[in-house]
Amino acid sequence: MTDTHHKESFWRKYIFSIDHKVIGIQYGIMSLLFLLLGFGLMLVMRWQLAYPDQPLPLLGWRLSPDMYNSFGAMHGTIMIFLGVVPVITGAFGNYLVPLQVGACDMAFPKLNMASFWCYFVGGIVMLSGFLLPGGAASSGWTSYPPLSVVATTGQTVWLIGMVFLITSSLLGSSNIIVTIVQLRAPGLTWMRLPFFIWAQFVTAFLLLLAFPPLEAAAIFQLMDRLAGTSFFMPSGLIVGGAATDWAGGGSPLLWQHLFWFLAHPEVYVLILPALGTVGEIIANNTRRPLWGYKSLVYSVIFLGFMSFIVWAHHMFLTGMGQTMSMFFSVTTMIISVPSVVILSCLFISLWGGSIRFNTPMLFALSFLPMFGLGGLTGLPLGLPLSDIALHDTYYVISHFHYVVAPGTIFAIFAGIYYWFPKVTGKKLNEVLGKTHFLFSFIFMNGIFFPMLIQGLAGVSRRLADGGQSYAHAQHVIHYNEFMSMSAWLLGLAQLPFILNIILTLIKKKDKVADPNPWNSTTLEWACPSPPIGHGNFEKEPVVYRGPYEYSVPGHKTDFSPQSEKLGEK
Amino acid sequence: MSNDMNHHIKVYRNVFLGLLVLTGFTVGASYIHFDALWLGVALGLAIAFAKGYLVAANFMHLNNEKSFMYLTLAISVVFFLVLFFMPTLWHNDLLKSPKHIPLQNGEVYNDIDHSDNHGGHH
Amino acid sequence: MEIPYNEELRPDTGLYNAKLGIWLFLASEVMLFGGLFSAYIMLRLSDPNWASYGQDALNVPLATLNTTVLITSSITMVMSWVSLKLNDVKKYKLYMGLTLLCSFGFLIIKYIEYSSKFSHGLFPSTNNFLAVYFVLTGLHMLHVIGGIVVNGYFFGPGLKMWNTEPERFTNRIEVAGLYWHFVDLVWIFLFPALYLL
Repeated sequence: MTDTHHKESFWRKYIFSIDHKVIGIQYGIMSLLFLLLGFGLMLVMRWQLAYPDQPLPLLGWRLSPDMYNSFGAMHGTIMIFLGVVPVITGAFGNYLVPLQVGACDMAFPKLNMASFWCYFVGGIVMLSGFLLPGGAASSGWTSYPPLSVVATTGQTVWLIGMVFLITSSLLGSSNIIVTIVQLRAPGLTWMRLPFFIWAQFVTAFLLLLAFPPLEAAAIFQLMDRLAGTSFFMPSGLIVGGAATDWAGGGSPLLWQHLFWFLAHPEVYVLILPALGTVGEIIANNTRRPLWGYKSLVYSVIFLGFMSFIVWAHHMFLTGMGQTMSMFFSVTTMIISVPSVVILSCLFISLWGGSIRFNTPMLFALSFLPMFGLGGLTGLPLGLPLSDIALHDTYYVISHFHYVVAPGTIFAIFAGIYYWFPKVTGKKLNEVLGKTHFLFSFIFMNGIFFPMLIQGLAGVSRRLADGGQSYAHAQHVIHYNEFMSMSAWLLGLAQLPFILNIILTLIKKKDKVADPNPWNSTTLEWACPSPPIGHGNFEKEPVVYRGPYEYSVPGHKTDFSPQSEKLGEK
Repeated sequence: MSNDMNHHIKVYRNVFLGLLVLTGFTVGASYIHFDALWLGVALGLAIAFAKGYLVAANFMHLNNEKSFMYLTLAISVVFFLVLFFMPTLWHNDLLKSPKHIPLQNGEVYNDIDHSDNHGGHH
Repeated sequence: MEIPYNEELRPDTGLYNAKLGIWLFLASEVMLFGGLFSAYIMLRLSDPNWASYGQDALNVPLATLNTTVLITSSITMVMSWVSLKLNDVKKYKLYMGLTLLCSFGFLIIKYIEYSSKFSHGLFPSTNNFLAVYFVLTGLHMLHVIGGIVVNGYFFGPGLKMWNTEPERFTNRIEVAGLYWHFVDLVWIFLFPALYLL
């Protein structure tokens, strides 16, 4: 193993590194910055919603309706494609998958590097839209044509950026699958894999198979915009009172089909690794095995499969016919079953455990009801009849934000607090962490719960004035100010988190730091923290047992690491 | 080893000839005029699938592959078919309204699909 | 540090890494072309004017020739892998060279087809059949160009790996071959779908 310690140039080591750990950290830093940026856009939009047409404090300018649209589109795009997915598959996946399967690196280190740099370029290209005349893409993160085809140049760079991001996720996901299949440590059979690995495995398949149709659609839309084809342009289209040059004959619904064919599995890309993360943390902090490991695994696989055939429940309003509507509402009801199985397993795992309420566990625990709320508010949206009333209201915004914001993002926070000692060898401060948790939890709900009320009252989403001009919105419009206050306070609540990371990073490392501070059983804790150079493990680990052998009767500690020989006590 | 390979080479040569012959069939079949459009499409696709099978099974060694690969490909083929048949589902709404709905004033609402109004079966 | 199973097979899966990797990539390619074909079917079924778009004006003899060229390149590709298995680098170079030649031939014929369309004033924007035709064949052509880059590398500078790690190089050719046969496979479906049906 001497060759792992030879000196590498600065560029090879930190910038164009092929070490999965460095790439994971690169992904982590970039995507957290993108999350902050996407959140910042929303903070500006919330000002416009609370105090329509008043100049922004400090900045002094007004957010015009066009810019509001553009901020909204970019908020969605950044949060999903540049923020949450790269954190959860790029950062967590890259850093932890090889460690948890006991591998020295990803299967294709160079492709891994290419994956990060495609993501980087894609993100920069998309953001460059803000500098173009007409601003960044403004047709929503869904980019529905014909609106998006006649939109300003920002949409073109959005599409080009998207092609880069798709390439990036393609390289990343095939890498994760090959790593899990091929590089598992000896003894690590399929049913001994941690739940997190299963979640990453299924997620990688979703990315691999769902993204390409969107790539096809993005190419079509680029052609529509640049070469004047009419894939998505219907005949006789009139824009701004004048007939357009497109030959016509195309179908705007075709885009919606291809887009949602990706974008529904994408929802599960957001949520499955989050469930995996939460599962790891719950097992570790209840000091007992996950309840129903096998049903968790089969549910995740089934969920992944079903997520490919529910996409048109986003399209009930398009009048696609009763056959399609019925089919997709049935599959939508079916897919809620495995989700409930997973959530129930995680809840039951808490039963009778001696729970350690540290920061990662608090985030993981709050994930459960928040994701539950997000899931349950989704049921009325899966039935065409109620969806027609709710679809264009704030109810939908609230629903998917409950899944992703206090859901997935809380899981991401939990993961960061949990695995920070693995990456740096130093634990984050608990007091700051709990402060961060408490205020994030309160203000998150302060933003999204009133939206449910507004949505049920029929307030339309996507309006730059928050619905002020509508009579039926008047009795719920005052919530806008409350929600905006919550959003800004949520921004403040992130300061302890940022401070915590900075303070911990500059703190000197404990000389006798425990490589396994949480007394965890899975393989990533069987190597030093942080793992050594390029190669991770001091010697190749061998696995002797399942992933969650906590509190095994007769064992001298309350955890039995996977790599511990069977006879040892 | 080399005997084994010689056998392979023979198979590859036969596959190559088969592909050429089937290409001829495809082009030839396209000149036949079928009464029903779907017959021509079905024949064309059948030949294409036969050719695809020859390439995938022999050149790509799919007739002798590991089970994990079959599983992966089976999944993508299923989703491919979902994508493929989505448009046809969309254009043939199976749940049409019943044909004879008695209306309140005693008339009978005859047909929801007005393209059939001009009578006759085709 | 050496990543395991780069050349030898992992006992329980029976695979080496790159083979699984390329098949996953091809699975995603299946979905890419699935999206493209799906769009084609949907546009064709929903457009009452489709028959007037001049699909029968495409040059069938030229496309038939191109099909033959591509099928030939597939057999030479598989033969180049067989030659490596038989330890015959000379033959490998011959067959790989022929593969490259065929791929360039395919591009030239495609160029003739495209330019004759353009000279008749037929562009992707003219109507949706031509849009589908140009985008689908264009994307396929990009795949051919990608294949030429990869095969060209293994024909030229990449060949030096044969002297140090012959087993791994043979695997690389097998993987490149899988990709190339897939490109062939796509054309086998594109040809009747666009030109004949």
